[in-house]
Amino acid sequence: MADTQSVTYTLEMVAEYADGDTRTITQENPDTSIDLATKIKELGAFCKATQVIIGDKTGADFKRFKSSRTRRRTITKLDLS
Amino acid sequence: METSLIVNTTDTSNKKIQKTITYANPNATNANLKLFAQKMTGLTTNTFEGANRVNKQDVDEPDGGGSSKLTPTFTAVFDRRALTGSYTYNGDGEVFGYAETSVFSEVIPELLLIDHQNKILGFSEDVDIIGSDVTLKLYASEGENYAAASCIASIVEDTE
Repeated sequence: MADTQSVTYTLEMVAEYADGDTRTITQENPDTSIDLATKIKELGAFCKATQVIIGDKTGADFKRFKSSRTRRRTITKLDLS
Repeated sequence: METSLIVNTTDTSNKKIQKTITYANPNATNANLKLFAQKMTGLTTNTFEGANRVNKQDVDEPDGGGSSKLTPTFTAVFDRRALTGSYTYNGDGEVFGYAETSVFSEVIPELLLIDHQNKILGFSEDVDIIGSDVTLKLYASEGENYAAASCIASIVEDTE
């Protein structure tokens, strides 16, 4: 048997708050077939309007998602047989 | 009080995934928290199954939740100076303000924090000016209830 490989993706979104603090929220299995950038901007507008998430240092208001990226991790299972 | 949101989803191979998002807003409605959880899940290939809200309350807080988060609207008194900003109350007598202004650093905004009965709760101190952004800290009196308030800004010209 040969080595096998699998790939997983993680989405990281950096939220920025009114006191200048930032926080990264991660999610597994981002859907890379959709326009993630637009959806994240829309999610940012929703979070700003509703303030569902707040800063962890001073409870500051959510401003926007400052940046976002997807991380790809390749896992190689080595054949030890 | 601290609120966390637990989002329950299943992935494309039907494996259960539970994700906890800390520092949700204690004043957020369950409906908005659910929408947020669904929209977050919408960025993934997972299926939304449900969400739980967990409220964590310090035993030193009074029964019933204590003071609520303050997010008043920032109103500019002088129209020629466009000001936008927001404020939050950290539950300990300190209101942190953040303002963005199109004016430049020689003009220092002075801010008053007033409640809905127009009583003055605090004045701005510790103004930091970084470029054309102004960060302000307002100190309000201890023991006041900040469930509803608004901010009035006035521009004080430096007379020196």
